Amino acid sequence: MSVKPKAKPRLSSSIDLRASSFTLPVLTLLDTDTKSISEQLQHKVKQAPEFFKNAPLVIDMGQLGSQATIDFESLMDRIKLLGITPIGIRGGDEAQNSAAQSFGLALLADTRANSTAEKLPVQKKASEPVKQASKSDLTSQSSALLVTQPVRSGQRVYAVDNDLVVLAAVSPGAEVMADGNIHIYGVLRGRALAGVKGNTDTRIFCQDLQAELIAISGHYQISEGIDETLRGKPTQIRLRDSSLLIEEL
Amino acid sequence: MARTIVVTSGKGGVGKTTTAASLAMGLALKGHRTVVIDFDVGLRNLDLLMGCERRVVYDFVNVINNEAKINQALIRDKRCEDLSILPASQTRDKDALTEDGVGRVLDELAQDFDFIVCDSPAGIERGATLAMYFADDAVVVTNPEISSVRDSDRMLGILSSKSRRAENGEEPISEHLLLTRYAPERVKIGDMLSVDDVQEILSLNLLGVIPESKSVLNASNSGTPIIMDEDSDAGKAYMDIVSRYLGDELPHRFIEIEKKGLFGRLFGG
Repeated sequence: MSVKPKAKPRLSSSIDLRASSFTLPVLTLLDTDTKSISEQLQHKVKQAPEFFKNAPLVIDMGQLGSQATIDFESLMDRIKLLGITPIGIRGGDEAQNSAAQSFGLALLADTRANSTAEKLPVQKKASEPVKQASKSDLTSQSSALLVTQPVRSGQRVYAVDNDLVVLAAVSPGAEVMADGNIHIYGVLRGRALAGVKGNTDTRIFCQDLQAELIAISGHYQISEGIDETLRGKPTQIRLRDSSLLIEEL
Repeated sequence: MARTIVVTSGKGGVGKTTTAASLAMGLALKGHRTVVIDFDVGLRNLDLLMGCERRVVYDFVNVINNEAKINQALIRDKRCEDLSILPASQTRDKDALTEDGVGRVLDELAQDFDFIVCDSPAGIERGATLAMYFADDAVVVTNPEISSVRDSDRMLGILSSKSRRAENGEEPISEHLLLTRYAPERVKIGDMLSVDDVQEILSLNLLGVIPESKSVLNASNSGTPIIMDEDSDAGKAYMDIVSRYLGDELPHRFIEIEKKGLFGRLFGG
């Protein structure tokens, strides 16, 4: 809440603690028979051995019904024998959770609809977290992140798992990013990066292209490389065969 | 309850202190109890522009550190009894300013004054962020030139996210653009950005335009806020700005090249 002064490095820091996103395989148990669980899991591992080698695994207990008791020790041993590293469980009841914890497993959030990725933007290293992208996203996943004020120099907006719509100008030195498409109903003078998580089908639309940098899924172009004749016109940018295609709308 | 105005810019040397001095003097001349505070610890200038540099005993940092009472540090202006100046420290550095300390001093001043004008230092570091943290209004001083415009844009971003109002989710700081050192002849030939060019990038409420004027240097040399020079165009423009800030709707002067007619040239004007 307070204005944070520039931290003076007193001693060199040993750690840097921040959130990060990981996609993890989840094993949903439909049965408490650890023998048949491990047999069927072994079958899957054989199909893609490299993928499963030392892979972290989350075990979902949600389908077992409460009061279902499962031999945790046997389950852990069998999974580890397959070369997999169980790291946590979700969807367990009290008894299952405490059993899991006694085996050193973490308890993970049981939110089926949202992945952990959603919570990130608040902790994202945006120097000024301008529009808390996560807040609006968590409530309605489908509607795009809407920004109605000009995005000023030095500000950064990131629409997680969504499109971004900006109803004003994007100043030079500002950055707008989205996992989906970016629509700017104004002048784009800063940087626009669409498809940040890898979606190559995303596009950037703006009413006036004067961008410092445009990128779709990592393929980028800087201002110098953008055709001068396109300046001042409504444009659409998309990816075709790994190169950016900029067209007048 | 006082209204706190921060005069800021991001870029250095655009006219913040000149503006803070004239804005504060203008408000005081209209009968409002006004205090102007220099936030530029270590590089203080406000006392020079106000002509009170020989009367500084205690300063802002002394008050924050409880080494002096506010009334011991405040300097009453000799020309206008409604105006007081709180000078910055010259010997300390910006770390001497703390959010709590500044907040406490501003709260105390708010009880006795109608307007608190905060003269921000250049940059976006501690002094600048503290100067704008408690503001209700912001006057963003900009020269019609690209680096100043970009720095002002950056400052606007900071105003909208790092102020106390932004952090508490209150109504945001009311932002105003002040274009200084404007030269219509250079705008005409395309050397200088026009008001419209600047507005296209910043999109702010235009508080006013101050024309480039030689009298500004004379004013700062003599320790008199330019608003008191009724003959200078810059002084007149600042008078307009004070009126506009207080709610009057006035047309913007000094934006067009003045065409002196025959009579104008014969009789001066």
